[in-house]
Amino acid sequence: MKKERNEVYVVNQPQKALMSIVLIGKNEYPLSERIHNRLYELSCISDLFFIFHGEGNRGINEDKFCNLYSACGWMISRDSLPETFIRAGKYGNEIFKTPAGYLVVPDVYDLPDIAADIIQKINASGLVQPIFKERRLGTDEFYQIYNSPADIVSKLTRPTDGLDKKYSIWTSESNTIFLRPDTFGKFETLPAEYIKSFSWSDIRYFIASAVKKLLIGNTNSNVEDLDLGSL
Amino acid sequence: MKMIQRGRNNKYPEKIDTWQKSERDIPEWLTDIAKVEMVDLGSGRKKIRMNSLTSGGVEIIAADGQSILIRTQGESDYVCFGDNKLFSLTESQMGLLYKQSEDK
Repeated sequence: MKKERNEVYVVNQPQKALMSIVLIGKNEYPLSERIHNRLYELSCISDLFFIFHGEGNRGINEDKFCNLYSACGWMISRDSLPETFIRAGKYGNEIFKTPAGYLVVPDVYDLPDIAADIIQKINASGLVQPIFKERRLGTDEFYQIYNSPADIVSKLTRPTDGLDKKYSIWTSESNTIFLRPDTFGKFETLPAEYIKSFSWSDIRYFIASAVKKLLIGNTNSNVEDLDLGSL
Repeated sequence: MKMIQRGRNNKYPEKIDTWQKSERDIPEWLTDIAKVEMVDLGSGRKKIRMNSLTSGGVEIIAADGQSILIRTQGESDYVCFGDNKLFSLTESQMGLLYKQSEDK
């Protein structure tokens, strides 16, 4: 089967009101028993959707992988991870139409213990803001982005160098991020140049910076730490 | 226009024919199942019965002249036909599911 990047391959039609978008960026197979079991727990409360990126799919049969983990579909990203991520959300919103919320797992290897009741309560609540703990990048991180030795050595910089990570002001250390369908719709309104500048293999830089840029606001709390009494 | 699936989703046909309200010519697969109102004897072009909706979409009347064959919501929505299924897609849904086929 021919695999096209940034296209959606549906394995099972989704049936749940929650979709988990799980990103796999490393080529560390087989998954540890711990992650293997956590994916099973996550599949009990949500429809799993995998995004393979970077080195994360070498020698892997994505169809079999998704079937075995009872996932609804998968995508492969190679160029722009945020572009793939936004397309996954758009597909969920406009083709599947089932998710009332998305649980984003930025790195499958950091998948935490899933407190099913908390996530289901959040999904059923009227909360519209994204849920993640935000962090503004520090001075050293800014320096790593704006420092450009190529400008000193040679004027022959690539046209894309000026854009690379240019808008990465915020990120998050949360291992799961909760988003509503509407947030994906807002991500789509961002200029292509902005989206493509996030060359990180960690989607959290994009999500946190985009949420700030779009003035969406967020809970500034981890999913597992959220005060459920306020929902 | 002939379209072919991007990626894969078994809920939808692999290949489809499409028609949009803005296209003057009504394709044969649609005139075969819709109520034909008029045939231009010169060009052979057929006109089918449809009602325009305030949303910009259309209601196409079935060959029996009574029932609604298909309804589109917006001005740029597509009427799609493939694997004996008739359905409509928005422009955005079309971009996620299909791309133009090289088949004529």
